Amino acid sequence: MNTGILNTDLIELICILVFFLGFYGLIATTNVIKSIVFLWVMEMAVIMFFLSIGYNIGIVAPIGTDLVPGQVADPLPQALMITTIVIGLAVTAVNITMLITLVRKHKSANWDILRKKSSES
Amino acid sequence: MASILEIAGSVLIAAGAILMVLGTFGLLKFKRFYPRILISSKIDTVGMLTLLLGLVVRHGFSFFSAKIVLIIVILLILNPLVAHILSRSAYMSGE
Amino acid sequence: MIYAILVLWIFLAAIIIPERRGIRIIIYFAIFSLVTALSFFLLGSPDVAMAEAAISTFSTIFFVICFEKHFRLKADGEGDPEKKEVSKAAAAKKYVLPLLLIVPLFALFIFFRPGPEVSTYLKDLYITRFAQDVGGVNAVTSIYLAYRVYDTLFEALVLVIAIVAVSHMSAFKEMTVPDGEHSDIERDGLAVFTIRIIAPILLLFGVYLVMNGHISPGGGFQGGVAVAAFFICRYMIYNIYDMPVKKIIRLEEVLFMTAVAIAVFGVFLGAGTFVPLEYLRLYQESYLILMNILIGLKVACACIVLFYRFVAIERR
Repeated sequence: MNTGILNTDLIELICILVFFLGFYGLIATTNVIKSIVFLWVMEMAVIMFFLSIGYNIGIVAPIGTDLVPGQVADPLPQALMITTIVIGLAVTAVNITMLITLVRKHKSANWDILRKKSSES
Repeated sequence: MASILEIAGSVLIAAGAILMVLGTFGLLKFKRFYPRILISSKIDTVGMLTLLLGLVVRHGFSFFSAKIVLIIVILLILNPLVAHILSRSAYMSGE
Repeated sequence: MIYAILVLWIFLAAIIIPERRGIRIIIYFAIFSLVTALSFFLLGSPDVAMAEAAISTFSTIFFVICFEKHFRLKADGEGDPEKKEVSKAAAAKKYVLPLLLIVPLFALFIFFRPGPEVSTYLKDLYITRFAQDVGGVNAVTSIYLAYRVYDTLFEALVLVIAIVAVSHMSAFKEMTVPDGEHSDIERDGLAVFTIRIIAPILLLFGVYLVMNGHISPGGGFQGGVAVAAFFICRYMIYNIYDMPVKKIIRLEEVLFMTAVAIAVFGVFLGAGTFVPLEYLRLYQESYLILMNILIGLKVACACIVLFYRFVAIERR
């Protein structure tokens, strides 16, 4: 548990803020395209949170032959986050397919109208 | 003691940055679509090319400069195409 | 520097919430992804930045080609003129009630955040040992091709599942369209001429990224997406849907099984014990290049199949 807010790392704070902005947009809006976009926004916030671990001013990429561990970025989160981004493409493609099937069937992309129409039929 | 090449490269980079700032000012000043597409293509083409040329001049003759020259060639081919396609689709959709 | 970019990042995430027009949501989505890629680069991870830029471009293309006909459908419903007389109480219920849920959750996350002490044991181990364990110069490629190769294989499996799910969820059952059927998108002659010049450079760039993945930023994922972009250019030049989709899916499965076989083979036949010392570097580099080529071709096949699926079948 970490009580002080002032001694927090600023990038972590920004990532949590953007994550909850995406969550708020997911709840408060009724457009399905917006829902897909906000899922992507939340995923990007999580990836930025992982990449900012151990960030310092003047840090360099972990590419080279004689690396000093204090001066380079952490390569393990980067290797995991590359796979996460490609999985994000798969998620977006499946989401778009489901949405376009719904739009073709009900002629609308609004959650309220879609819920009403699917409960009628 | 900076050499002449470094001074010339810095001047070119500064000129590119100034062109970009002027282009952004014009983008905010005009309200219609066609003046805006004119100005924004100036930002892409002139400002960016001047900045990259400044980098090439600063670094001298090396492999890094060759890669930047390749980027300059691709930008020179693609940027007018982007402006052309944007204005064409704006014309066809009745702007 | 990074903080200025991050402020722009928050602004772009917040500006999507009140937007009403469908096409503007997608434009903001593209700008948001590119700003994210720039921030990743400033955080010292060029590999992730390249993957992010390439993948977000593909997502934007999918959005545009699918919803091009539905943008005027009032996709929102929030901008409908007959919905203007919604009472203020309903609007407050819609926008303020989620806020009451979000703010305590946000405060809880801030309060129970992990502390600033970071364990650097794995980081030090990987950075000091990857050059002799795995070979190569790029630490990220060495980790996702050797230390963590099963994560990468699982990700490749997810792409196969995505293709199956896309063809299962769709309203159309056929996988391909008949040969020689041209699309109804009208082309521009200047665009076709310019893309003819650019496309070979793009293919060359993709192959360069795949082959140099172990000594420079890049690798299988980014290079595979660049190779798939070449096939998008091919579609834009000839305007024809003649890809052998079933053969490409079969090739993708074969490539995936080959990658799994090579990974298992590499684990049970660890280097250093069987390989003589003077051939060790050759063995390591050929393993890295071979795995990068397999994963790159696999990602390229998946992206080509998804693009042709969307542009030929889903957008009708």
